[in-house]
Amino acid sequence: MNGWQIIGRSALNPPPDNWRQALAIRLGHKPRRIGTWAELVLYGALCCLENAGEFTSSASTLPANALISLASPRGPMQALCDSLVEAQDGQPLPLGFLQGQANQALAHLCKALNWQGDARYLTTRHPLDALRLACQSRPKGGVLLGWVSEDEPASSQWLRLVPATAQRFAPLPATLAELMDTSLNSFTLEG
Amino acid sequence: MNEVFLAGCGLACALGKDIPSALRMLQAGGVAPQSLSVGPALAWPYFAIPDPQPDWYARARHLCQQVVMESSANNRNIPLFIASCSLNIGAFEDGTAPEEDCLQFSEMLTEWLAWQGPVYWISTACTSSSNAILAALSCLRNGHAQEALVLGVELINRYTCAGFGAMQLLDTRRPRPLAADRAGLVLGEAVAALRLSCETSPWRICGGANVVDGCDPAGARAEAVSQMCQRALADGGANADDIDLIKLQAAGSPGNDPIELEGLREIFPQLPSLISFKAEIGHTLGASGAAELALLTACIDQRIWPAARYATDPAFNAGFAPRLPAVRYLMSNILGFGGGHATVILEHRS
Repeated sequence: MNGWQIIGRSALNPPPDNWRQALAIRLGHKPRRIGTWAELVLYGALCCLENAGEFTSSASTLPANALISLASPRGPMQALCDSLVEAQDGQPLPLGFLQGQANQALAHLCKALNWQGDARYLTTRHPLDALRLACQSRPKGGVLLGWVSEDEPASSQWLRLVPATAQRFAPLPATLAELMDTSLNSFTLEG
Repeated sequence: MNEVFLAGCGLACALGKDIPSALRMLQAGGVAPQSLSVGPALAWPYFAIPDPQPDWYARARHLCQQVVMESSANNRNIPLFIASCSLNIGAFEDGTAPEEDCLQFSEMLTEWLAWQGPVYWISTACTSSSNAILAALSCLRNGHAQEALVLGVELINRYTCAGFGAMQLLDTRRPRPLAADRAGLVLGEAVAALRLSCETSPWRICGGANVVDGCDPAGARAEAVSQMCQRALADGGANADDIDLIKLQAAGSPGNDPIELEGLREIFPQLPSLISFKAEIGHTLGASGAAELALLTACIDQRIWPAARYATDPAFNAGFAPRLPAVRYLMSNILGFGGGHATVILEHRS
């Protein structure tokens, strides 16, 4: 049985007005040289791990054998577009070039968690596709799954999932919104 | 857990538009990079696919269809793992209006290939297609499909080259991985298809690992390279002593080349035979994991080996294998932006 327990959530859809200050408090410093999309990634992920009891004041207990799966319909598209405009005259600025790469957010997140492990980024219209793919690989330390969009209204929605062997599970809901509902504690990909 | 095999490969790269042409060109001494102009009075060497169609999309379509056909992926209902980081940026540079919807390119690809199965687009910079291989491997191992296709696509564009140039990562000459006078990477384009299947064939994909380390968002770390190897060996059920050949990331970077060797030596005190293809096809970024694996397995199958063109740095006390070694187990590394360190281990069953 491919069952999963939801042990943490952050449904920042949209995030609160003061989310940047709240992120700085969690990191212990104001993030520098990263774009808005990557900041949203960090904030949502840290809130989710906090909710799961796996992050407190810059220390994380996310297991080394967990999988971080980040997904988005557009990634850091604004940073990429800005960098493309810069490059019309020849070369983009290095910082802008890096900010336009989606997986830079994974590096920033790993650094913030002082964590090293398997992390990937998918561009997709369907957050549950990313969830299915992550859960199919059955990482023993579970999955930290994020769905982040900087398009207004911005959102950073995360789930912390761990493999479970309980007897009965609800089937996987049809939408991310249903998964974010706190009344749902577990699900299975099967059935 | 199912066993998974590399059942078919297709490749278009600077050496040729398909695997037989690439091997012929490799045997004949390879190709020199061309020059890619990225702005007024600014150009970088670049390994382009020898396919001069002027229309970017028509060329992309032709190359993708051709490599998928070469890989014998006839079943269009299986999962497709697209790996790319520069997307269709090159099309915008030819005057086409930029698309607001960055998923449009992967959907075009799906349409070009008449794909009916689930499609996943993995974008983790240089490690994109290595991660696509690992995702497809999990999918097949755990019984969610019997076959899957990994398609690495990285096509010519000035922006990516200019970005790497702005970060001072590029060489102005042909790249020289592990050489004492190495001065950086040379980028290239490639489209590569790997068909993974549960049906037995000579190359078994034993396992692999992806380790992201955030300490250096633009470079590799020796400790993460070691961790990557350890995890991959454990995942693949192999010991360090089993590995006969390592295809390095080694792209000619003054910083990363020694870091990769340092990390490997933690796990392999006596390094196995080594090879790198960056001097032959350039660094093909998101396509490199699939492209270099397709080229490597083809070289071994056809007993063709790239000739060493230069001496490696004596300080490394490591050089490329001068001839094809006997290979049962091989490891294929890709390291990249975003702290990505990924490898896959294959076993050749004769």
